[in-house]
Amino acid sequence: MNAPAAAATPPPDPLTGVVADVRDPEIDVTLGDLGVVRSVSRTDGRIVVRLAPTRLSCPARGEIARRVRSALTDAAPGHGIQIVWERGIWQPAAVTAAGHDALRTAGYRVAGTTPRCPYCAGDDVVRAGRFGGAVCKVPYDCRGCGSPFDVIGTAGCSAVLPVPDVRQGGS
Amino acid sequence: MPHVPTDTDVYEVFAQTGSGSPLNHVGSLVAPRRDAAWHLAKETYGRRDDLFRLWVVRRTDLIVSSADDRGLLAAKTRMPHRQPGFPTTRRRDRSAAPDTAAPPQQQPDGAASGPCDDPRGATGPAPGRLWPALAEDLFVLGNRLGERIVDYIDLEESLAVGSIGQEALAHAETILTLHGFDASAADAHFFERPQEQWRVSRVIGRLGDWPSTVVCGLVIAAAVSVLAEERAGDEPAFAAIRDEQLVHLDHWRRWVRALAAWPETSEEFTRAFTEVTHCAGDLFGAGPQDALTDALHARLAALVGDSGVPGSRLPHLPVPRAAGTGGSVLADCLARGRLVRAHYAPQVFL
Repeated sequence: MNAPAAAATPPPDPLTGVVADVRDPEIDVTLGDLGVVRSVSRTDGRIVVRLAPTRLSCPARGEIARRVRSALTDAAPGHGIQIVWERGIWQPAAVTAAGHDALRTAGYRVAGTTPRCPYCAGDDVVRAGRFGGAVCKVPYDCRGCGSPFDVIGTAGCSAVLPVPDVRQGGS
Repeated sequence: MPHVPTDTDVYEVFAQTGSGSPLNHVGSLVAPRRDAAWHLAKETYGRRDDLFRLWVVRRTDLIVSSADDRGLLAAKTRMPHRQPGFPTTRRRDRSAAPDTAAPPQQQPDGAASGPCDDPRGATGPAPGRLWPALAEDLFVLGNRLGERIVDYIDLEESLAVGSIGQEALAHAETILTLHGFDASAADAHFFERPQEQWRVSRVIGRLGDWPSTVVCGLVIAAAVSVLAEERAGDEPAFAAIRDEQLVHLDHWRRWVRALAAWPETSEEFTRAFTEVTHCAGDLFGAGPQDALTDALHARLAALVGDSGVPGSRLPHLPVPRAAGTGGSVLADCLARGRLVRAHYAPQVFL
């Protein structure tokens, strides 16, 4: 599971593009742009796809695996397909430039940089809570244009901006 | 593309047969003029039944979808991956692979294959036994928290409880995967083992009222993050577990401080805090007691002590885990899991 074998792989398999073009079921962005696809390799008629979920508890793993299998079956029929989940290694830095654009269009920002509003690009934003509508999202509000948006990625959950204490636990 | 049809003499007929029934599309007809169309529709579709309402519209006045509009028509927020399809899919997977059909018997990547209910535990050093035990605690905690996602008055807390519960379950599964279980073996380990074989911590039995649940969440998050720290350097999944559990720990700490501070809750909370921490001595008590478990326990005690609330009765040294703990909380959790699995028809949700 710990990388060396994957790091030593020769040039990328042409099927990498097929897997990279599969769309994420939660947000309208491709798996390649989201940085989820680690490698695709072929060994004796068997396709091994290594994917890194953004969170350990990503609930979309089953659906992603189904989509990847279906895309690979269309592109290269007759191969066995093995999907390996590489746990805990996804980083916000793995999102490509195209991925940043696609996510911004869908109303998301990626953790790891100063959070900016995806709609008005303003930086007067405040974290609206510690947990979002999915485990990979942290909710923010833009005080410039009033839009709520989500920041994607583990880093946003523990650091970035503190949450005001008054919002917690009051019922 | 959505388009406007060109057949000008075709009319579409909508009829309602009673005031309680919906207006339905019943068919189409060809007519030379609008008024003739309505009368023809009445004769054609209202011959045997009283009609409550009859609408006729010329087809060229419609905008209709084409066969290739399926992409446009697909729901953007259906999110099938959020529907609980897991109980049946994994069971199907297992029935296709008979070698994993037996209870927790699995193929560890190395040599060790311990007794059924404690794979690897018999051979590995202490952490090898501590992890599966904590996975059991996380599993029950996650299920219990899932039952609490009902209060939409405090949406923020629902999101927190839902996320923490979901991650607790995922961590339980990840831990087993890192100990050589494949997905279906982990599934069988959690869902098909009799209760007598579970060795949950005694805190699980206290997962009842909210103050006790908060303290249980606190001590379990503290224990898991302490143990994950041991392996965080060489296994990224453990580092991820540690990071996520530290977020949970922080959440529970806020709750602990708030419940201890509010006059309305402080008395009940102090009692719960005392009782649950008293039970938490066995979190690292699944294996033989040695210098490592003592050190882990000391760090657990420090984290619990750091919560800013006095009155912890955590024992000074780890206490061995006993089988048969968990009581009605564990029994309910397992029964609910079996019920769900027994009654889901395959493909109900997808």
